[in-house]
Amino acid sequence: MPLFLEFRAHPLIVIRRYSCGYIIMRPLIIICQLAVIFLFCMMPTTTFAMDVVSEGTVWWIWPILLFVLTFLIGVFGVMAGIGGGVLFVPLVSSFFPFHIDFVRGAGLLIALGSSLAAAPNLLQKNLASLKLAIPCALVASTFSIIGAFGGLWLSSINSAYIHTSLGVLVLLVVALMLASKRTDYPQVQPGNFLTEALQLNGIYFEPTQNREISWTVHRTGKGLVAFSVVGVLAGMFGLGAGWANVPVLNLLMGAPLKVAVATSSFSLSITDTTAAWIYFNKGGVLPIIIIPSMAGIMLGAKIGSRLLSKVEPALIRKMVIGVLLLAGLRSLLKGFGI
Amino acid sequence: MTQEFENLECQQGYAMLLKRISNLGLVLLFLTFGLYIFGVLEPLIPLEKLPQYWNLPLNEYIEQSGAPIGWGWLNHLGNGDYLSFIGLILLAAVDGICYVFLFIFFTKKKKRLYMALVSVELFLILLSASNLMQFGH
Repeated sequence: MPLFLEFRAHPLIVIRRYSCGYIIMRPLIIICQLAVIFLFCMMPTTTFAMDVVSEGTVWWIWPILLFVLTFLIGVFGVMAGIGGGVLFVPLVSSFFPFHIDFVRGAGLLIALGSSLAAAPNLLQKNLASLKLAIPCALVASTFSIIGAFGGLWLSSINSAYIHTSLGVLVLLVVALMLASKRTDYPQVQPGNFLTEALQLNGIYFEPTQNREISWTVHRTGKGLVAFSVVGVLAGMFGLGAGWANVPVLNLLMGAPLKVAVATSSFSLSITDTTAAWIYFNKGGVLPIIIIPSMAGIMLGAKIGSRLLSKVEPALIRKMVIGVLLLAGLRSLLKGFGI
Repeated sequence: MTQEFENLECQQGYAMLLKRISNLGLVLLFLTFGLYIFGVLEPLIPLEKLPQYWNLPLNEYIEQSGAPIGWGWLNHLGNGDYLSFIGLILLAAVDGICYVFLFIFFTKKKKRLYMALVSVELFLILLSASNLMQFGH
């Protein structure tokens, strides 16, 4: 959908009629950009302010701020086509007074909650494939346990290690988002042994073409190895893993984009479950952080999905990349004690 | 391409089960959180004291606040903060419950490979939920 329609009323006068979604979203986008840049520039001051507020009794301000932030993450996360976890963990660990151990636990449960909210619909429409998700999620969830223990161990030595590596990872996610070119229907070489054994194929209905599309995948072994890395990172940083699952399923394994996005959304709940239990058992779950965030992200995602058809996704994507870049840099600086 | 194993039937069942349990989990989550945040049930860690704890590393938080670990939260269900755990635990357990359904389905259909994969996943979920794994922390 175009952002605006142009009318030339006179050789020197051009009238632009902006779409409704653009008029609503543009000020929001500018406010968000300014807020993040402001927070980033004013970091020493905001850290001081956080300490002052934290020491006082105004605890209630933080769940409210969390709700507002996660609502915006939900809106923009959906429109940019990435999960909320990847935005939540670096932003909240950088700009809120909570220790990163609690933020990671919250990140996993928020990704889990978002995935559970989306999964039934995606499975019923046959866009998410249970067959494809089972082996991929098994590998990822196994390694997410290792990641969760590794992350807690690293954090117990010095939480700066986690902040630094989170910063590096978020910057890599930015690079991945800038570099990856997704393919709607990748070319697949059939005959892969694992693909055949696991019968990784299916059919879904594509409404834009009004026909059923058959799909299969290839390079299943390499894909499963990639999911082991995704699992470690998901457990270690509580990031969710949609940012990595989709490129693995779509670019490496050759699943159609819609199937890759839907299967990734669904399999997140399985991947994050095992790591989430580790955080539960270690006491790294604070309802005061998780529940307002979950409410904000779910509400935001609902509104974001409604606004999706009315805004320019490329613009939102650029904005989200900008926010991630700042959050990644902030994490990196926090890791260096700056 | 082989289409002999079209799993729509179990996929629909899985989706339905997932939807019902996660909706129940969300309702419980927000209800119990309401009881906690509005002070209907006394929390174990007073809300005004939370800012002293939430910026601490996990091990220091446990030491200083006396918060339970593992399944110890079950002893504090009378406290608002730990009553909220019921919804969270249900959400974390949804996939485990759905995997039991899948295991039964694959066993009936004699899909041994998927039966094995589902069993391993179930084992991992149970193991991580059991708090039996301890690793240097």
